[in-house]
Amino acid sequence: MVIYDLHMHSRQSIGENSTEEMAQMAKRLGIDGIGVCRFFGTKADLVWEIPADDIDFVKVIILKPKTAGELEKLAAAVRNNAEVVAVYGGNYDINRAACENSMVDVLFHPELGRNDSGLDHICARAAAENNVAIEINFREIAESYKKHRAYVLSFIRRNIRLCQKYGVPVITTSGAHTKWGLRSGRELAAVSHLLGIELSASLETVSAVPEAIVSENRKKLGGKKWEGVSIVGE
Amino acid sequence: MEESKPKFLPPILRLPKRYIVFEVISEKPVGYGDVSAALWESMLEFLGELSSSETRIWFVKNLYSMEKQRGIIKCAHSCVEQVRAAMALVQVVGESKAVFRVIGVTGTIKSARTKYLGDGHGI
Repeated sequence: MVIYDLHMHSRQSIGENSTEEMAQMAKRLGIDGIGVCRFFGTKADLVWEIPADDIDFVKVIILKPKTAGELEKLAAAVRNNAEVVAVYGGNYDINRAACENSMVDVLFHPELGRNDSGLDHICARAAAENNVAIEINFREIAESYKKHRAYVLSFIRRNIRLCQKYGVPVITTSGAHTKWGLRSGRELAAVSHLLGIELSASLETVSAVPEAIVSENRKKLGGKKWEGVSIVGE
Repeated sequence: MEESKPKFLPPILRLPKRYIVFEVISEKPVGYGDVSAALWESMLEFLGELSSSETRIWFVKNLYSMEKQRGIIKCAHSCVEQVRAAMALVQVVGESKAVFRVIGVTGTIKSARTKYLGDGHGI
């Protein structure tokens, strides 16, 4: 089983540690692939510094649009350069626009900073149709305390229930900003299992689901797959 | 006069358990007391008193290795995921940043020692 953590920040974005340090810790925790996240502002953000290492580095771009309308333009601008296109969730309009956009791969933390879960049945249905994955962000749980943590857990639980009902893919990530924020895939799966996902499915949220997103997009970027058509042999 | 103790339950009446072998990755080496305190705090915070009692958690003190930073926790067989999640939520042990990593889960203490800690470890 290949373990992926598609959301972690190194010094290339807002993290405290270098990408090499993050990769070393990830290897020690048994993670096979990490997402090197960058926020998209200009075209210069589409150049990743990938160190030489045997771990799989995934180029993840995070879109932080101000309005739902801006998301479409940003997604079109980055789609052919990034291996994973993620949207910084938290605003309902942006959450919904991300779910309705097939160029988006993952919606990060839809419940961030909200008094509700940030998703409804309309978003969930659209996410299933457009194959947009919803993230369970471990950092959000770990960094919250007492009453706030209880709220975060209940919002994530609600989102999981919606995703299960409409068949939306779910991924679990550490969302780490330092190397000490990384967790092994099995531990992340344990957390998502306690939040309402079957154990086998929760293991897939850190392995098969992110792996499928990455491999599909690599095929598309490599010119081996188009909408509805793929080269299976030469 | 020595106080009498309850007798050991026959095997059929003993509740099933699992042994979780873990490693602590930290800035500085951490002792058994700090590890135990950090995990108990996380368990009580995340699971609460009632659910923590259901896990029947027990630290095997004499099998904690300060050099290897590895140890064994006994818990109820149905609560392994709860303990794993509580371990994942630990961020600081003693005064240093730390990450718990579960190395393996076994059904007997013997297999935990032979598979993950090396025979003759600890005692």
